[in-house]
Amino acid sequence: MSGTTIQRQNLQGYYAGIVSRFTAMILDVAIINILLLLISWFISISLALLQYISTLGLNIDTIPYIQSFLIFILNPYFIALFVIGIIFIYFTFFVAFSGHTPGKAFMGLRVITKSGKKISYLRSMVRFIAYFPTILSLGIGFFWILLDDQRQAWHDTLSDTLVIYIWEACPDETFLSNQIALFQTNLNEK
Amino acid sequence: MTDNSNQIPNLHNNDASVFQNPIEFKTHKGSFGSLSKLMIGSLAIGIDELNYRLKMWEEKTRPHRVEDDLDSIPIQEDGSPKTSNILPYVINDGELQQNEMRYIMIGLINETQSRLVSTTHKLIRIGNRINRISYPIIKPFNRNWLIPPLQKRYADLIERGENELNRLSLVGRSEYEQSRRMAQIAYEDSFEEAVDSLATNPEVQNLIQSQGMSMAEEIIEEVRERAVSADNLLDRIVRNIFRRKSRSQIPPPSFVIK
Repeated sequence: MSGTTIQRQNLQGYYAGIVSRFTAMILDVAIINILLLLISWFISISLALLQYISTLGLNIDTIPYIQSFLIFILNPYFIALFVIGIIFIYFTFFVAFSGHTPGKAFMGLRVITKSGKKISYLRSMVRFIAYFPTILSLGIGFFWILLDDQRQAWHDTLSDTLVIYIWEACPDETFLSNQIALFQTNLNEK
Repeated sequence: MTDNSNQIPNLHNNDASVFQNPIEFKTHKGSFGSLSKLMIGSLAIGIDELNYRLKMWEEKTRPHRVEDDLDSIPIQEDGSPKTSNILPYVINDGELQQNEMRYIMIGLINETQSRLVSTTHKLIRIGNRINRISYPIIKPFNRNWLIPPLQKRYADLIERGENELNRLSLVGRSEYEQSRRMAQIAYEDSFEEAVDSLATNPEVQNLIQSQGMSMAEEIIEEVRERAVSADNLLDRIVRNIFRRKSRSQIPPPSFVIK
């Protein structure tokens, strides 16, 4: 039988690329935003309820340390710390507990050590802290994925971890060839 | 007469007071009566719907009537029709001859209705003419002493018949409306029950759920596939620009990682 057959390459277990990882990151950020919105909504409802009780005759000043508590939780530094704390817990816990955050799970990715094992809580914390240089480098640390042979971003290199596909990742060759042809046409026109 | 008489108008000239209470006639009870009403109502609604659709279909098909096609037959210089692109009533040798009988039958059915109507009109006209001609001949017999008692009996018979027809008409009218309402309610209730049963049926729910799940899985797979394709594409482009080894030249991850 003549004719070419396209063999679809299965990339399961291979290093994950930048687009998949960036999409997972966007999903994680969206989830964290929703979480923070829910928390802020809960706090504002609680404060409104306290105010309502005070109009009914109960003076909230009678509750011990209430004023200092309110000043503390509405402090911008505390709020910033709280948000970072939530993000820290989100990334550290999920990555150490199951090997991926919800966003990474959606995209079929997993964070592992170089020996192929699940990462520990300590390594997960290190990985989170290592996010800061990646972000502070204006994204260069993240785009390092494109140049590195093992597709490691800076925070991966610093924490000695890898991100791999855990699903039967098969690139759509037709889509790829179309995009390459389009890119080359644009390049030639220029 | 009760107030109910206002609800059922008497369409005939005869006095409706011959009926003590017209509403009495529609008080059939029991399942057989209800079933009859349901059947009548369904039939009425069905006929209305069929009429509506028939009219609609007729409107839609009107531009393709044979008469119109006949008008549009192009004529050659010698007066004969050009037959190359004309419909089957211009008979060709093979296929069209086989269909000729069918077309004749269809034409006959189409014409029969209008011919029946015109024939009936003709018969009525002839009957009236015969009546006019024969009236002077029969008139002397009417003055005979034997005829008036017979005429009276005949008139009584006619009156009784008309009264009976009126009564039946009233019953029919009220039954018709009630049957239609009943069929409508039955249809709506059945439809609602069917929808309810579909909505609460665990098998249907499972089916919808599984279809929803498979759809979500498909969406996830599509997103992942596109992302992987984009990963490879960007990788190739950037590595090309920076003159790095292509991904295929790099050894794959070790077995422990995979």
